[in-house]
Amino acid sequence: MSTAYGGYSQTTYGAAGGNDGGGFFGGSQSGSQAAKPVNDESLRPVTVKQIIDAEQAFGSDGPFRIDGVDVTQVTFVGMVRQINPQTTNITYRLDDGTGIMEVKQWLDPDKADGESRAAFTEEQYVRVWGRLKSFGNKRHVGAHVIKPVTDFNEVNYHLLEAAYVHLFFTKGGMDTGGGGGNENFVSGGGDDSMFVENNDAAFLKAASVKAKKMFQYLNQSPDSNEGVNIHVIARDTGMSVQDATAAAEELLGHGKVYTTLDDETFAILQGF
Amino acid sequence: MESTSTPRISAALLESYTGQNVIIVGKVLQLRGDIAFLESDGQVQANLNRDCHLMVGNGAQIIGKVNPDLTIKVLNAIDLGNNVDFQISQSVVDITHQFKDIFVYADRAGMN
Repeated sequence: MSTAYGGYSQTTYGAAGGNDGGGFFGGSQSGSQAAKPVNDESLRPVTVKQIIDAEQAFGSDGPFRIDGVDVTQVTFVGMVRQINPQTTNITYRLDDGTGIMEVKQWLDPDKADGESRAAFTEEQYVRVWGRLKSFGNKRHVGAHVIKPVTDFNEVNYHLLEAAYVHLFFTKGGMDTGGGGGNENFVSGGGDDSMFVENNDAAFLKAASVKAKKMFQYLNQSPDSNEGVNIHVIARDTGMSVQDATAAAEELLGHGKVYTTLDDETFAILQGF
Repeated sequence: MESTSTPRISAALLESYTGQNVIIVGKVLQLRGDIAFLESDGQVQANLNRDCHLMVGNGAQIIGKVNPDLTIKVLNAIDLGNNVDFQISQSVVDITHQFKDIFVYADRAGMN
């Protein structure tokens, strides 16, 4: 069994690379931004601890990953602990209670020198929008914008939002994953397919977020008998083709989907 | 970049954090000289320093160390005005402890 699946996965990978352009064109023709895979430029609310703990692939050059998702743009709220004006930038040390992070705001040399003075004071809450950077062994956030927090509730709001996004990526969203999803499957099971549906529910609990996403997408797609191409799945679920391929492998391994027209078209294996 | 956390807690959790720096958000009930009493899921006594300008009835955030007698030695205190949703603050305390992996570094003393 497992060797056969290994074979599948190889062909899938190869073909996926070759067809990548095709998938992309399909997306751009429809002209819909939302259908594009979530790219790693999306802005993510984080805590400072998440930034410090983020894994970085390939030493200090690679992309940062939080909860297994590539992250470049982040936003967070912190209290200014220290302001360090330099000739080319202002370095702030921001503390959000979970850790302390340096934030650099680069100065525009063409602008008047009034800007080179820090616009904030110590012990003030600010929100930063910026890009994760690492220099040597040290991480910092290159700020695009820093704004003062005028309503303290924003501090609490941000921490809750960061937790929500963390849970979204680790346990699945409120609509697609977790308890709600399982309930749907059990209740939607009807009388005689109860056993199989329960099986699916149990599987989904243990499955990765990607596999969950793909399973639920296929389960809801109307033409699931002919199967759906991996590129379409990737586009509609907002995953990269690699992630979708990994999800497909996981689902294949558990016998939840099967390939139809070719090695990269999948359909849900219905329980009869 | 520094991996030290100052956990957000409420009065109910003071006991587990003696000797540590914490953040408490609450409503100022009373000011008595250098001592402030805050309501944050229970009452907290905060021993202020001279630079603190809190107001009775307003929200306040205090950062400080929990003394063995469960009072707080305040390092920093800010007035938050009168528009603080304490329910959200309490939710933040709750999730901080529910999802420590994104909010709290384990203390050096090995507590928590």
